[in-house]
Amino acid sequence: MDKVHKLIIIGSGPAGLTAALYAARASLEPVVIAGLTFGGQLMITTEVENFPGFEHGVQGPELMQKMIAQAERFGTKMVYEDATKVDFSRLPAPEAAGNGGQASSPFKVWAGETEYQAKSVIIATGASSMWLGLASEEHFRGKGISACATCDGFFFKEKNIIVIGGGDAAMEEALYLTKFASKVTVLNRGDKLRASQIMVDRAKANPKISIEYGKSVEEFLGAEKLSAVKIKDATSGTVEERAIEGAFIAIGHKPNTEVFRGQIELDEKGYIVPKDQTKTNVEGIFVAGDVRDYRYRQAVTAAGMGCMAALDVEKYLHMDQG
Amino acid sequence: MFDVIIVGGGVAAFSAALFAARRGLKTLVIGKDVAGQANFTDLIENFPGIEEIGGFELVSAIRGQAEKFGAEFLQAEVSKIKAAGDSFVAAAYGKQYKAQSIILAYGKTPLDLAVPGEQELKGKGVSYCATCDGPLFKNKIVAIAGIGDIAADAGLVSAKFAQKVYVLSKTDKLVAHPALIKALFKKKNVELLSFVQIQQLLGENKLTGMELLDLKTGKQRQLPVDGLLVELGYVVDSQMARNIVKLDEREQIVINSDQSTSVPGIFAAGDATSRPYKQAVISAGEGAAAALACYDWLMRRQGNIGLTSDWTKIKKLK
Repeated sequence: MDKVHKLIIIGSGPAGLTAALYAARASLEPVVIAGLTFGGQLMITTEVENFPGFEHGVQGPELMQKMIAQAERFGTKMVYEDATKVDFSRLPAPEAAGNGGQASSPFKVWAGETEYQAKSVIIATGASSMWLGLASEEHFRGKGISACATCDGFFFKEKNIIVIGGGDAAMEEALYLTKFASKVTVLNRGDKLRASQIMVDRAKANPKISIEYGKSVEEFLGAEKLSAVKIKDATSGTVEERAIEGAFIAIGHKPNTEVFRGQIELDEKGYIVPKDQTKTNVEGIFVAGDVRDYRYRQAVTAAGMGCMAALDVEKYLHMDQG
Repeated sequence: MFDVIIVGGGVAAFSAALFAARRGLKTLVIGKDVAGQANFTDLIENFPGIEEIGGFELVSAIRGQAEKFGAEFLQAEVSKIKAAGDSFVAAAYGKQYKAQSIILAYGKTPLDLAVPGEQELKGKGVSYCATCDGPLFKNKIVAIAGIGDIAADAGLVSAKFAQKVYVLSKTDKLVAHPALIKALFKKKNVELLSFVQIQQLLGENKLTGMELLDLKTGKQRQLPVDGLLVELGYVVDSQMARNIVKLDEREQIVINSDQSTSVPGIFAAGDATSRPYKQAVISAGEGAAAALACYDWLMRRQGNIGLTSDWTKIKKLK
């Protein structure tokens, strides 16, 4: 804690690690608060086909390991703890008076129990999977319900399962699960899928997958383990009970910003509000990746933003030193 | 008729093609060359996930990736784009190509110093990107050609690595932001050489020095250097886009936060835009974003669901 670092990066997905790579190459010796489950959403993804430069695809965890190694090679310090608390208030220091008031007390970030201080911070904590919010869903989580096919798919060997959602992630989960499950039914709320054409085509071409429209889950049922669901049909309004052995929730994400509440400007859904590219309402705090982007949410768009944030920090620190 | 024509042949263009093709769009890329600015970089070590790669190699890989998903590439120079009803026509080498939408990603080129020896020594000590090549000049002697913000930035970047940094000016000052100038000359290893003009770059397969003209005395002298960062700014050849989309005073395409331009249906990405960052990974990210924004626009125009953000999804669920 005795040292004031130049830069702390919170988060270790593509945005955080690209920021670390650029900052480290600029000799900013960044500290990355990577989290206990580091690497972001790609760690629970199998094949990544759309990260530019990997012509033959790359496994999500492998890509993230490469990014970590690359950032470390140039002097990034990785801290595998969760950020538990932050203090972004800046008390003006007396010696800052003649310096445009820019240099003042450092920002504080706690990783586990340890306090870290820095002149600048990049927030790149990303987003996490969302749940339907049913009480029965919580009850069966880990007992047949999962939000990560890659993590739990293996347990559903030769089983009849459902995937809830209609976006790319849902198609991806469904396709992946066909490796294990005997039958995969995709339940989509609306009458159209949101997924990209190529993913829809692939899902439709797979004989193990069937897609049902206008269907939503009302309740999960079972004794010890999940064994059935109540499904409501939007058109007829009827509710049917169907026997299944597993359910995967793939309905989207929410930003990981709980720890920043009250410290920085968030919008109504909890995303960080960006100002002028990667800046925020607090001077010296920057933001990149899915934690501010609810629109594109791609590894490469996050990486690009991470790079921008690092360049913005570098400029900010030059100015800060006068 | 294509769904989208992408103008350019660099990281932004092929990254856009990759994402457009994966969305099922019929995609044509028209580029004057392959690799654009990345061609000038022998070794990229700051593209995330790839330890080291040549500029040309990186762009070729992204091109292969885009073609794998169905994008087509045509090596040609687009001379004109015009609107035709609710679609666009791009003219290249006397032929016309029609598309529903356009992504402009033709990049920009750093200005040359335009002195003898420069062409031969590009990538061999002569660099146009301090962020890319600064660390390669560790413990070396480096000169900066340029007096503006980007030159001062380049000076600050290289001062961290180089043993000595000379900043060359034809007068006795720089025209960069005062805070940058102050920070620059605070560095002990940075020295301003006033009233000098670079006449020639010296070296066979590697830059070894420069011939300088002293503008006060009219005398010539040699300065040994290992690296020269030419930081004079960029030129954008926006000839073809000038009469169709809004450009800023530096001929860069003015973009909105979603990569759209002043004309609905035309998007832009990468170094040709007004966004003030020029890095391969940023171009790749912008290319992806432009393709997704373009897809969204095309879908909505046909009355289909476009890209749905998490927001709308959350609202629907409640």
